[in-house]
Amino acid sequence: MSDIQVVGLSHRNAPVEMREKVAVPAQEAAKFLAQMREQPSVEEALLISTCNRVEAWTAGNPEAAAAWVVSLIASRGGLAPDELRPFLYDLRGEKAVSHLFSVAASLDSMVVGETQILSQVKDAYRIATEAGSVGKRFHMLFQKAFNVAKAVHTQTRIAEGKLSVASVAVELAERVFRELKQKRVLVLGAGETGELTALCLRDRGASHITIANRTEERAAAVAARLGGTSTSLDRLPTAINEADIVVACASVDKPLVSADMLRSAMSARGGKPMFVVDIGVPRNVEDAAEKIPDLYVYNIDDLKGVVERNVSARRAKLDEGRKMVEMEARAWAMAQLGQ
Amino acid sequence: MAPYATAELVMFWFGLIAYATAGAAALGALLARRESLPHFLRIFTAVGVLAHGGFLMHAAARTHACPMFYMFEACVFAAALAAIAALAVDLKFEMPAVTAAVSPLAVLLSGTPYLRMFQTAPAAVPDSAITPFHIALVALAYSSFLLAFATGSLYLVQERQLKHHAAGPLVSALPSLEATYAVNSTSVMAGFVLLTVGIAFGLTRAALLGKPFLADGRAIGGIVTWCFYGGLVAMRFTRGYHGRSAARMSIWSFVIAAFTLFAASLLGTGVHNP
Repeated sequence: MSDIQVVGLSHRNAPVEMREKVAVPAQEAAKFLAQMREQPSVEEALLISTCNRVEAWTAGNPEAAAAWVVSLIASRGGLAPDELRPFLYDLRGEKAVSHLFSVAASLDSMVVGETQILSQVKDAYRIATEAGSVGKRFHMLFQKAFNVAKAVHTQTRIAEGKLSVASVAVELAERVFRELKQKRVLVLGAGETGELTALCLRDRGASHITIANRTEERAAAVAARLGGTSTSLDRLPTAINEADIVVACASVDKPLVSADMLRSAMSARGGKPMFVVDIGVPRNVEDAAEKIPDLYVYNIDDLKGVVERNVSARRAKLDEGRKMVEMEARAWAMAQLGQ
Repeated sequence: MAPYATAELVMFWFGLIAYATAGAAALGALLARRESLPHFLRIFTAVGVLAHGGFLMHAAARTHACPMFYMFEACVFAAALAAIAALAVDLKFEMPAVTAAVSPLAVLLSGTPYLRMFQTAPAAVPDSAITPFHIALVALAYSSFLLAFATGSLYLVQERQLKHHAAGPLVSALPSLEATYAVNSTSVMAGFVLLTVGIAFGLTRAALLGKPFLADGRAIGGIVTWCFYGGLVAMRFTRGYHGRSAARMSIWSFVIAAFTLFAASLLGTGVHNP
């Protein structure tokens, strides 16, 4: 148990300039693992290298392994070991196990609860297994880490709630519509946020995307990127009549979409719901539109409010997750002692 | 007091408790958002359906009669059908909220008629071969209306949440407006067609027996219910009546349907109450 060790650096203690210097791309991971195992005291080796962390996991004599691994990581970044050392952590035994469980469960991530890290740890484990640098200890430890991560996610629901305005908008659209596949999306403005939201909607199946912009060439360019069509703002009332979802993010001095325009569109829809995301500042949609039945208007503050609530909710679940991880790490340590 | 065997009453109460437990599990699922709770909800609802099915079949086997001649039995049958429909919708479209909404209603629909004043009230007198079909069709119609009531309520709750920009656990626990409305609309339509055919059977039965159909409280109640749902269906087709208004209308129609059904059972004699 005490022979398990991790030496590494993460977003918590190392700036991005340092992390990118020592990062190991996936295609070079096997070679790095082979270098780690050149040191006889390293019996098992595994490398987790993402944009937020580089961690070298070893099983064997921790003292000798630590010095060797530090020199390897430092040499990747063209640094002397002493230059790197202030940014490093060196955890052993139960502390290392607890750290692994936290990382896999995304409790140590920059965006707590993100699910990508678990796939990255799984990839690291797969690469190390294929490279033959994983033995019985790491097999058992990492399988346990995956189970703990799953349990933390299930029990704390820490991954719930989207954290970007665009993804929150899409999530809300899915509360209105059963599926977005056949829905018509109208994007007002050809800015980055609108394009990103439209992209998220397209990823969820929305296939009819129309971009309306003052400069038609720009609308056409964005439409081409999204696989949609473009239209002129002169045709706005018609375009709104045809849309199920409107993403308004044009740069305007006064509202582009009047309540009357939306009232007329809603009347033609016969009570079928319409979803409007107004992420423009100043707002693109008249205030009075919120009162129209079966029309759901969310402005940038509403969406940011949801994002902030989701961030707070995740923070609140962090303690629960940490307790679970500590308990599991303690149980793991006890079980190893028993063996 | 209707003559039920102890085993039948045990099954009835067991089913009722299962529905109630499903309702409580649904509430727990909403509050705690535990992923496993929808499974409990479905299991308990299915147990309720099986227990009430067992109750009706046992009574039928023992008495060699259609197990729906009492209001009480017809309501138990309708509640079980509504629960089956809710489970089917839930499993097909992953909408546990529908089962969650129907389970407590199944408790009310099958439990209320157990009260002494309704227990002995007949659904119809077994005086014709078409009577069981009449009762079964009307029970099926009411189960559809119950499902429409439940989904209409879910629609209004979700609609209110979205309109007021609420982002609590309720918003993500409830199905999308469009999906809820689709189930609501289909239920209203199916219920209306079934009630139409059921009433046609009832009219035929009354004619065969030479009794005046409209001189009976429950028959009048049925016609009133048919008019309300017919109006709703017509509005949907002719005026594109969708969304919040249609959901609200399906709720009021069911309130009226339930009221006429139970109130009429207490009225005097007629083709249902000789």
